[in-house]
Amino acid sequence: LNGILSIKITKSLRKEKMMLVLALYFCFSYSLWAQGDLIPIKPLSIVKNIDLNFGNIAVSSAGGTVILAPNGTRTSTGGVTLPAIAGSTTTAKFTVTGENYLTYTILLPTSDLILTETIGASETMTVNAFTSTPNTTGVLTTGTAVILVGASLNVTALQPKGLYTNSNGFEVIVNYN
Amino acid sequence: MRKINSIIAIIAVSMAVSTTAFAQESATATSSSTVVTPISITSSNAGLLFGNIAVKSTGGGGTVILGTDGVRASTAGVTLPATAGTFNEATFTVGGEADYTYAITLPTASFDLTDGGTNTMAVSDAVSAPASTGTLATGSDEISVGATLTVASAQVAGTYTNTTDLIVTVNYN
Repeated sequence: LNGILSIKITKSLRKEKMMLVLALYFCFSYSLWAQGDLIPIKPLSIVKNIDLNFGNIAVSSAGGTVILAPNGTRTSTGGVTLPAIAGSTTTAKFTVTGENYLTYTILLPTSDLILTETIGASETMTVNAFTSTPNTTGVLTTGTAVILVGASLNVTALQPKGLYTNSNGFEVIVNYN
Repeated sequence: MRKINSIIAIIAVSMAVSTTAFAQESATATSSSTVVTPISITSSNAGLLFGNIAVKSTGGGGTVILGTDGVRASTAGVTLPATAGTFNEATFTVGGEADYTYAITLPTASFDLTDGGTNTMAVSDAVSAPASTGTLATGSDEISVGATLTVASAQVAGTYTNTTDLIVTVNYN
């Protein structure tokens, strides 16, 4: 009898141990699910729709800058003027897709982007002071969001005429918060 | 024991599956800009020349109005002798990007011509053709400038000049 009893006790203890392990797992996993860490959410992606183009600019014997705001407004400083024939002026546009309602961070370039004159290739202008709308953080309310990016173009005095480009481009990085 | 092992295995698998790592995502855009031909302006003749003029010694001075077409007219006590001397409007050549329009800025204040001594005559009311905006249809354009010379009664005879103050400024619209 003692022997049989001990076996039964052992069996029931094993069951209890099993139940305990399961209970712990569910508690643990529930707590993680509740935090959102383990929900299989849509991966975040970003694609570029439109490139950044400062359009036509004129420069005198004094240098200056062209500031292209994320909303597309151009302003110039110093010896730079913006001719009425503006050319194609576009802010860069990116589309971010991911999980509805999640927020994401936006990282813009912090170093200068060098534009090179396409024919002579010896003349350059720099682009910096990137700004975006939204700024720093965005929210994927409907699973998609648009990021508009502007920047400042630095033009030196008597900058030679020409089309200046950087085909490698600049990078915009997004990440879930 | 086998059951426990299989449960642990299931838990391990389920945890492995539900742990998803998200890498940051990025996209690149190119950037470009066009610097247009700088606008330029150069004087293309000897400048604004009013020619020979005469003024009454008494009874008040007058003016010489030199139009952008180079035609002179005089008022009040000023007359234009038949020996007219050289007179013409000032002309300027503007260069820049074809089809662009540009704004013309003329002197708004009067400036003096001097005879090298203390005698002066004032030039004012500068006008231009085109008046305030020009078009660089083929990448260049001509501007003609006229003005009004004010002559005092008994203005001292002499050659009056000013080589610095007729400043015409152009810039792209």
